[in-house]
Amino acid sequence: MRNFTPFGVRDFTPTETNKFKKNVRKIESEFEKWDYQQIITPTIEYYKTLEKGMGPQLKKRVETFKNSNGDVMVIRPDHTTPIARLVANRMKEEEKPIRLYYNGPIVRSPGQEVVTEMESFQAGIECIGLEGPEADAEVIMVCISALLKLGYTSFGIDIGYIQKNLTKKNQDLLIKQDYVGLGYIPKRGGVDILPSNHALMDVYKILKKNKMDQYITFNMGITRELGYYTGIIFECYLSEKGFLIGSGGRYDNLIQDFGYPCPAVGFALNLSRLQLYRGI
Amino acid sequence: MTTQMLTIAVSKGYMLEKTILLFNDIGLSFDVDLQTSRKLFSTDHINRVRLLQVRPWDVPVYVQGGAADLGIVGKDVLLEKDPPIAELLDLKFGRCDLVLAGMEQIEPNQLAQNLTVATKYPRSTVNYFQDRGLKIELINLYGAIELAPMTGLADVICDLTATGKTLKENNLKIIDTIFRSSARLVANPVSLKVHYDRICAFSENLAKCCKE
Repeated sequence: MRNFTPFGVRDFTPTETNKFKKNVRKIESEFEKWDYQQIITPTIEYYKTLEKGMGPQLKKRVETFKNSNGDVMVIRPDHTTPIARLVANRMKEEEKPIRLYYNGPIVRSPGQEVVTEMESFQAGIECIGLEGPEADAEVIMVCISALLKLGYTSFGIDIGYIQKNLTKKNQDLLIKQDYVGLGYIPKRGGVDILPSNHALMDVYKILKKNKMDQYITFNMGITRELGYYTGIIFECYLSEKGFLIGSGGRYDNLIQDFGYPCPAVGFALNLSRLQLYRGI
Repeated sequence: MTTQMLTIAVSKGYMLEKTILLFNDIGLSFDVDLQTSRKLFSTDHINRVRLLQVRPWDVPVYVQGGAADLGIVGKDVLLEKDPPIAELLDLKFGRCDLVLAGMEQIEPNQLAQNLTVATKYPRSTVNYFQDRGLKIELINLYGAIELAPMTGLADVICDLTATGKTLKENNLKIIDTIFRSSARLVANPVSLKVHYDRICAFSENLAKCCKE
């Protein structure tokens, strides 16, 4: 056998690395323009710690191992949970909001992708300590700005929210996208599809005021398997690609799971799917 | 601005004819007859729809990968593969059942532990037995599953049947029905966003034509 890398991970040659770095720099400079500060969390953590942020599907997809002590370790499967831990542990006293950004790989065992995907590079932000539509709109605007900065024009963001009045059965059908079982295709369109006086109306108003409303659509079919989302949730896609390139949402209870009640909202872009090492 | 081409992956085989007829019913007509031609794609240039003729098991792959916006595929394939794509409509043709069958007519509660089961549907088979607390040995076959019990390769089989005729002719009795299947319209989740209005209208048109 030749010395290939495993499926779902890859090397970056100097040419690829340069292209990738240049693009990542663009994203980072946009994050910094919005006052976000970079942080670094470890690649491996205790499984018990990060388990707090894992839904049932993600639990099946994390790579774990035992260290020499016999502790079960996990390779970071997302950035948000470690950041929630960090904030609860070491940043409680800081003035709110805390605006943080990150850029680094996550690892998930191959799931149902057409092409095996194991290590994905992600860059994203977390806006911590703010409730309300201003913070929700801010992270969406940062996301749009980052995509524009990268040179994309033909992209969209679909916005929905965790619908607490749904039955468990319908929630599962939405996650599975089984609209035959559900009995209808969920509504998608402008603000008019939102229930009257819905909090997302204010998010829309802010985006409109900032001339970013052309990138967004409301979608009642959006759900997230990750257990920690509590409010707005959104998905980003490129019009010509058949997969999501990023997602995010509000998670007001996750930091509390680490002992410090604090609302937060954020998003991550999947840089591997964007193939930024090829240049765009 | 010209309308973008909508690409639909259709299952070749027994569902192809019904699919084409249904598409004709809603006013589409394609330049190549996929059933006689060796060409694997066919286009309706006026309505901007392109068909790709692929294997049933490959339909979800084309749809998931974004190579096709939509697909027509049996629910059996969706249940077995559980692909992360949207299921929009039950087209109500291509009806069949996944059944458990064996040489002897027994009741489901008489199934023993450690049976050897031959199937083309390993995931659905394992789920069925696990739900009943039964451990099995699995044999994955690609076709002619009905031969397995007679030849001693397996104790029972899990296989698709529309009429039960093949089972009967090979001396097999149906022990239980695992699920019922029919053709489904499926969509790539991003295509469903980008072409939402068009796909919803397409699905509604199909729904009107495929009433039982």
